[in-house]
Amino acid sequence: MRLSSVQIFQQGINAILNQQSSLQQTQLQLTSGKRVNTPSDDPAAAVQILALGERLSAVDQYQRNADFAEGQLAREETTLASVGDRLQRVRELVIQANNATQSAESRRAIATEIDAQLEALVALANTTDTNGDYIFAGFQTDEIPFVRQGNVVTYQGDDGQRFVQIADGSQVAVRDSGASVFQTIPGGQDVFTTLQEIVDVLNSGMPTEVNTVLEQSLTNLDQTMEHLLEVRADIGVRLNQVDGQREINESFTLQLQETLSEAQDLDYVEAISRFNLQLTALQAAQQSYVKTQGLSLFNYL
Amino acid sequence: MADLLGIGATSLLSLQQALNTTGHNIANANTPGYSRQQVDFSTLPAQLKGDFYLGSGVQVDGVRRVYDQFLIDEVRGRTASQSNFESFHTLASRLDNLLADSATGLGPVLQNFFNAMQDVANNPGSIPERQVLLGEANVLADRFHYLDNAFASINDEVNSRLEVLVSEINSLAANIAELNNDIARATTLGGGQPPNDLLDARDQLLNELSGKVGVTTVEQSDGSLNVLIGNGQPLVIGAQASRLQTFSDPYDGSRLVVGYASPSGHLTDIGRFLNGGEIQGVLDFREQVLQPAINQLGLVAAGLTATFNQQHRLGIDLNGQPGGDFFNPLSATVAAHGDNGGTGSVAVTIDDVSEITASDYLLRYDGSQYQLTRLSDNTTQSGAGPFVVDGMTITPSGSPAVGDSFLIRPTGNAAGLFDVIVSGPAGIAAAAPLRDSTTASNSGSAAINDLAIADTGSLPLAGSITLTFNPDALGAGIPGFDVAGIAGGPLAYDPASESNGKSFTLGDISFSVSGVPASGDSLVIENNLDGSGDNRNALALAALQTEKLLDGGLSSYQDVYGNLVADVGVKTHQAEAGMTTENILLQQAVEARDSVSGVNLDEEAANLIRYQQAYQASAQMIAVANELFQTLLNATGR
Repeated sequence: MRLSSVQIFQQGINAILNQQSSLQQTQLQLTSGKRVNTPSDDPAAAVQILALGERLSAVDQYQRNADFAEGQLAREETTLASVGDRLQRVRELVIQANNATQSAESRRAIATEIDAQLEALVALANTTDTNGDYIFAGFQTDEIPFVRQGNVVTYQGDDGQRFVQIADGSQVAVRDSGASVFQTIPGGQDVFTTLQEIVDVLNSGMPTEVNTVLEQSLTNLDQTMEHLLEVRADIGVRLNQVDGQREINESFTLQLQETLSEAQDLDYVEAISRFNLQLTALQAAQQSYVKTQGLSLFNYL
Repeated sequence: MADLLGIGATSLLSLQQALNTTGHNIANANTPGYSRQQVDFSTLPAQLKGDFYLGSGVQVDGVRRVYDQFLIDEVRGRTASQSNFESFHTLASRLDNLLADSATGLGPVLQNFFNAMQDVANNPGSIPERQVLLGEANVLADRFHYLDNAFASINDEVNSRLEVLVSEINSLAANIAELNNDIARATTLGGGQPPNDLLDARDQLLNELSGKVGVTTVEQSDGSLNVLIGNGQPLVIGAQASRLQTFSDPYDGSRLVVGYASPSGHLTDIGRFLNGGEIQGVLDFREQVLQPAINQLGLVAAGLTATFNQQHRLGIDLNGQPGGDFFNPLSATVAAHGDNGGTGSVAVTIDDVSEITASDYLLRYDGSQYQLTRLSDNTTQSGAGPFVVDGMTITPSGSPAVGDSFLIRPTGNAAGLFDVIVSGPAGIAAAAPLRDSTTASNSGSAAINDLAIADTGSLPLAGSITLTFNPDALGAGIPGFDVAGIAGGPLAYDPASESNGKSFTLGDISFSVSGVPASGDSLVIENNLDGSGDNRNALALAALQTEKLLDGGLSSYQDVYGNLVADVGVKTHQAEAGMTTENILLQQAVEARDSVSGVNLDEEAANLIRYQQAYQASAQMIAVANELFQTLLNATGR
């Protein structure tokens, strides 16, 4: 086939330009460490990378939420443990007071201590978290939930429970309302009323009624403490749930990162050998161009 | 009379032409579009000498271009295709690179916004988390604006490319028209001999023109060439060139279109007829890649705004007020055609954002009724309106003239207008408006679940709603709840069979009841006063991130954005592959043409030697003729 002089030149130059362009593309991949630098490099992978980035960020947030949930539940747990200890003490005092050897004086002394325990329990029921929110107030966390006026303790909160999202479609309750913990005791009455009754009867100094009331109060106390244990058990279950979910989130994060790396990261071994190949090809194109350009019949005329 | 001297003279003259032509070839070896020229020799008529013919020398018939018209046309066609793909690819790469860096894309910003929403859900009563959420919302708005501006500047680039192309086409057309004139004259002057260099120059201009816009040519008898573009629009007729113009799109002043002005001044858009060349690449890019990308980004913005606002309105803020709109509510744009003569107008409302598409719509009045066309797939609907289609209600009104048309764009400007309008951190509606409680004295186990309200317009409640369990609520032996505080009771509920849960609706309020109540037990629904620790609405808002709310229920916000990125990536990738193929095809066509018409310097060098030898021989011929004459003179001399 006949070639024009311009064509000979053009073919040589095109070979060099093409090699330069491929080399530059490989160089870009090597410096960025990424196989996919623009969506057009691999559109399907580009979308996958976007989606994986989103998932990783979401799971990260869920882990933060799980940490928060754990903190809240731990606080509730320790508070209720203290409540349980104090109720245990009250129980001992009640048994002591029920003894026939007690005098009106000694009973009044016991009443004073039980009254102090009652105050302490109200204070525990008004525990706040690190943000200053009352944890047993339902939704009205800015207002003190339990108010003692005279010998009546009123609950000013509501039944609301706060949930925290620890995974897609998985929420865990991190607060229980004051009503559900201290007041709504299945088959019994609320704990403050029970304690107030004990204090009142011990202060009244009427021996005949004391025994009946104290017997009934013991039953009430037992029901309260059992209810408390149930609540604490439920909190324990939820703490387990949070822990379990945190582990799942961790291993999911690892999986996501692996998939992201596969989609996005450059295979350095393949890229470097490709780079060397292209470098050699470019050198060959340049050298062959120089050799052929020097040939002309006019050199011999 | 033929004689050696005469023959020598004709030989010398002819060989001089040949040497000059060879020199001309060598001089123009690098001239673009040059076809090598050859001298055609033929013998002079022979003379009858007695009873035989004696040759009388050589003459030059003409100098002709060595060319193959088919190959020239092939190069022109391939130039048009290659320029088309190349300009499409260049512009598509702009968009591709814009979306390449995930740090400047929409994904991470959307993610941070919803993460901040989760933090508010963890601490709904606290101001700092709410301030962070507002900050992230504003970053999101800024990112939408940034992308929208970037798209707009690519649109500006498209416009300026069109202007440059049109002016280049016009000047090339003017030059071709002038050449037509020159060629016609030169052909007449030369008695039919082709003016080779002018023809080469015209072919070269036509090639350049093909790079701008695909052309077809029709040869005329006087040697001039008529040039047509599109599907027959004339660009050059003989020595007359028409002028293309750019003018504003009649629907959208920010876009330029290409066309002709008729003598009466009426402008016709011929963009969709143009085929091949850079201009088709630019116009196709705008229609197939840029506009869909703008609409798709707008769909994310409009979808997020509508769905987030809807949920936000169902909540109450830190001041106990209903949430209202968090983002600036967006609406579809309607553009009337610039030539509309009537007084018609069109109103568009978006009813269901999950059905909205990224397509534009055209509404035309034909004199008796309207025709609505969805431009992405050209499906049509006719009628008097209103039209309920793809989540919108389109209501035409007024008196349009025949042929009036309107362009409806549901999401086109959404990204640019996206904005945060919630009043401040306290205005974020993290709480739900109602709460339920079980009375402390209840001995049964009934409870309310899934309390929700469909519309906060009727709030706040005038007073709380109490449900009291009554074994004879609906009559003797039919258990249920007596309702106080709102109309709609009593509610039938049989603990024996329905204790797993039964749903009820009272006005706008819906809920379910489960468990076993005792007679006289009551459940209360009341306004959520001072409920600053309530995060139910915040959780619902955060959950919007993963729900498939758009594209007919198939896509989340991230999915729609992902589709945008994938679309641009795929189209750029295809354009790149197409361009690579076209490059090779163009190269092959040029090589084929050059192998016939191109100058090979070695070949010309050999020709020089050949003609030089022949010239020397001819000169020798004259010298011999002279000697013969001298001999004759000397023989007869005294």
